[in-house]
Amino acid sequence: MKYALFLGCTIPARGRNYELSARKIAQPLGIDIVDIEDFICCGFPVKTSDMDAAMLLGGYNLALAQQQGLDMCTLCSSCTSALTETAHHLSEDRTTRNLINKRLNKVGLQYEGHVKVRHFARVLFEEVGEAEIKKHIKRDLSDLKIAIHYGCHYLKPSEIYDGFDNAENPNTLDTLIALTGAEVVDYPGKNRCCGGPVLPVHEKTAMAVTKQKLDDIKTAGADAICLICPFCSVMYDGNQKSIESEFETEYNLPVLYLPQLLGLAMGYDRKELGLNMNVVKTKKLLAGYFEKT
Amino acid sequence: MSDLNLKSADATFIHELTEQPGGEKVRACFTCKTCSASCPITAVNETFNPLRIIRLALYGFRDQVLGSDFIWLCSSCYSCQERCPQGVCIADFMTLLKNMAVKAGYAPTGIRAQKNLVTKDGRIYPLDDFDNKKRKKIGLPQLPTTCEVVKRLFPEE
Amino acid sequence: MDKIKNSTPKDIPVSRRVLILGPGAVSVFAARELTKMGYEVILISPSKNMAGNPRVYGAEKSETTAVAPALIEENGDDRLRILPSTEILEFGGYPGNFKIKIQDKENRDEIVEAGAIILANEPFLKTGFDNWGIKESETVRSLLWLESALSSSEDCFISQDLPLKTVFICGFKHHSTPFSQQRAIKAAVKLAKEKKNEVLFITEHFKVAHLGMERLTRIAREAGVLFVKLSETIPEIKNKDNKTTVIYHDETLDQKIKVEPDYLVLEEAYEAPDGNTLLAKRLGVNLDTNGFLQGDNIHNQPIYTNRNGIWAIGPAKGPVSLEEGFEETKAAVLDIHGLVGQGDWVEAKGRVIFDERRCGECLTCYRLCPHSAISFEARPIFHESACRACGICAAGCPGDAIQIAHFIDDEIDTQIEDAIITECEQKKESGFRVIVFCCENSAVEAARIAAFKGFKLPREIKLITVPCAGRVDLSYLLKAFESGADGVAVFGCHHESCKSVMGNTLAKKRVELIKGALEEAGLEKERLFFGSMAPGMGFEFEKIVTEMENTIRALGQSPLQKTADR
Repeated sequence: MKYALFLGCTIPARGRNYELSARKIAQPLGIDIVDIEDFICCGFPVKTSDMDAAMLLGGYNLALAQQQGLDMCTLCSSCTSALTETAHHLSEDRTTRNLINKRLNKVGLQYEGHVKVRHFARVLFEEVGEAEIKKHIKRDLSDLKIAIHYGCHYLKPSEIYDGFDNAENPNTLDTLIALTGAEVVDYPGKNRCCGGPVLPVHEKTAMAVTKQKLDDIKTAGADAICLICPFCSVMYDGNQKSIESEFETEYNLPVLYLPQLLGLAMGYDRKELGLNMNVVKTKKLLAGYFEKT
Repeated sequence: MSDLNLKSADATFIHELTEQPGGEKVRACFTCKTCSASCPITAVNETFNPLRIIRLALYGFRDQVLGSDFIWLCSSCYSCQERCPQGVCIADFMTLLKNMAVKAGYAPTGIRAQKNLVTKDGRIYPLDDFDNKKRKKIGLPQLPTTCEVVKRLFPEE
Repeated sequence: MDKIKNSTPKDIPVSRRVLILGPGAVSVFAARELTKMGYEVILISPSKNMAGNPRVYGAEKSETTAVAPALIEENGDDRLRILPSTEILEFGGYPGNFKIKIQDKENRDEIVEAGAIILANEPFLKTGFDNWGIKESETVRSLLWLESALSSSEDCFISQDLPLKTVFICGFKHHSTPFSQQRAIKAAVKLAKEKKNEVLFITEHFKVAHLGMERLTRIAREAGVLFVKLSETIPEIKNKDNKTTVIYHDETLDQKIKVEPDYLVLEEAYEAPDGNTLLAKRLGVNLDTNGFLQGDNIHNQPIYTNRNGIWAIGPAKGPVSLEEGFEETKAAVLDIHGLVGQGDWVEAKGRVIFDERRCGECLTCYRLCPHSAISFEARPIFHESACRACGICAAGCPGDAIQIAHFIDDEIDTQIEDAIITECEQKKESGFRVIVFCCENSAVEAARIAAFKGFKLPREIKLITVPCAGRVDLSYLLKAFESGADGVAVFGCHHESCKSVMGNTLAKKRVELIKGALEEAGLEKERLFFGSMAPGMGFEFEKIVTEMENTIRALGQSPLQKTADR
């Protein structure tokens, strides 16, 4: 398994804990990561203002991966959907591909339309597989009750994801987390959006969406949230304090990235997984696993 | 809410919409309300309602749709699109409306700023040496702090 | 019952003549089809005009509506009698051999024989303007006007500048029908597609259950027709100085919308012919809520009535397209051929077994029969061709003089005893036993579906099939309790959906009656149930049975059972 790792914009700036933990567990699990320095924005943030520009940005990144003969592995779900969508359009629609290529030619690139885009979690589920991951599990996390947030763009729009999971009733993350021994806690609205995309437009609405989910997760009795997208993490982890003070409530729900949780079960240390960088403190939750810290 | 007069509607609006990606099937809407029932935003803020936007668009109320604040409240979560029994690509339709609103000069400042950042720096969060220092400290590879290629990809910006 | 004899006539003389009630193209078409097959036909109409009104079928020109008057005029077929201005005065006999007294305008009457009757009279057509309190004008038009205009001139409804705005309004002031809505939508599609109009279609209901309508509304949406369904308010129409304004409350937007269309199109209203009420009474057929000749009972659809030998086709049941009218004609003609075209005699089927010695000549059977299958000449005569073997007469007969083959009292009694004794032997410890009488047309099917879906009927509950809930005799219910049943139920069809019109109503009444008797006897009335269901309702069957089971288990053993056991 060799992949070009696509970081996008948010992860290098705001999700270094995600990047660190993902790189950490990728190696022993046999995912060979290649960094391409020239990758730029995936196009997702400009979709709302200019679809053509979004498609060009996506096409540029895809062409870079193709140049190296690699498929792409993404960490951010928004990057995943924007790149998958662009790859989907460019492989199916010759007219659009020609238009994009005309502009890519100016920077010496050409896209043929064969690069696959895979979210890191999907690679773990489909290619590494349960059996292989199980071999690396060293700690039993059965004391933890985890609420999973799938987020939207990991699964939707479903027509571009060739049915690797069910958008209405997903199970890939449930399966992966169950390997750690942790209890997966179901809650109403599990598939609902985090509210993140509305944050720059109407903060109060965005926070209200997140609050609703935090309420549901808390009521279900979870100890922590596990997720796979830095945008969602901004809402649950980064903004949890603000939501608590805005709505005069308290959650104290640590938010872990999937590779952090898997890494924990694989026996890695707090700092190796960047757990010290999580905003909501994880020390108390994970005290039993790191006795010396 | 005030009354609407179809005199102020623009019949060409719906033709424009159905000819662009995302708008192809919007006429199939039979107002079943599955979209608004699925919408996480409608659940917390009733001023946003995807069905209402579709309906206004079908009537041809161009300015009321493109000039409204509420199209920007769509979080593009695709719940409505996944569930629409008539196959309307509602999330893509909202993206189309947002694109058209930008062209018509209606975009909120935050949205325009995002595009400017991307077409000038190649990223919405530009990186500097300080970022690279932090990355180095925890053993992550260095990343470029400038981006030249976007200037050639987007010469007109 | 050892000396019962079948008193039904063995053979029935059959008339190969068919009486058709017009006027209209469908009745003429039916007459032509039947004469072609060699049948004699009497075509009557209460009006002078036998050909009817072709516009009843819409403005689209049809060969048959055009040809109908000519067919009547040129009639050279001596097998076809055409009698305008003629009404049915009296009606008797039975399928295969009806006797009909008809009378013309000059009060001359005549008794004619016919083997079968086809009802195909047309509804009255009324414009929609009066209902809305407005007048037809250059901008306010009827659907028929629009259809004619669309088919006649090429360049109408096209404007050089802005596209024309057309608003359709369907329903609200009168009952809209699938047929007129279908035509209105077709016209709307034409305006939107070919004439590039902006079309707004305001309707009270969508008739999408009708054949092809869902597809048509989809085509219309794709063509750009904008549908507005109003369930809470009705639109307001203003018409002043040849300018029309329509104001309505859009329920999706929760906002008032004002539109000034270039054309406002109103559909016509269809009314049942005045004479239908009297005619239905004379023929013994049911009317539907709008006064048309078929009744609302779904079992009669598409072409039957509650009486064998009488068919209601096409326009007799309300507005339909000519094509539908013709299709139904063909179906009815095939049926008639089966009834009266198989030789001169109809073999008796022997389903009704009558014991003359028990008959008290009380006329109960004659009064109860929903299919007019019993006549009375000193004693009841059962006409097998009219009989649907529902057993309502048998259940009603106070002397038990009537039996229905395969559902004879003795057989049912044995089934009741078997159910209870077998259960006693198998489950002595609980002794719990329930008997459910199931109508063959609904509950038996529902039970089958429930079983198919995986529902396991508790062993203690026994189902006994009856041809109709109306067959359940008072004595069956009493017999069941007397034998020691802890609970008894009758499951029949939903209200107004009984194949035999009122079998379910009678059953329900009998259940109520016995409930009173149970209380007197010291039994809880909750031990007796009546349930109604459609044949497809497996899930509901399971629900009703489970509820019933819980109630009866809570009540415990029947006190009568303890006595019986002792």
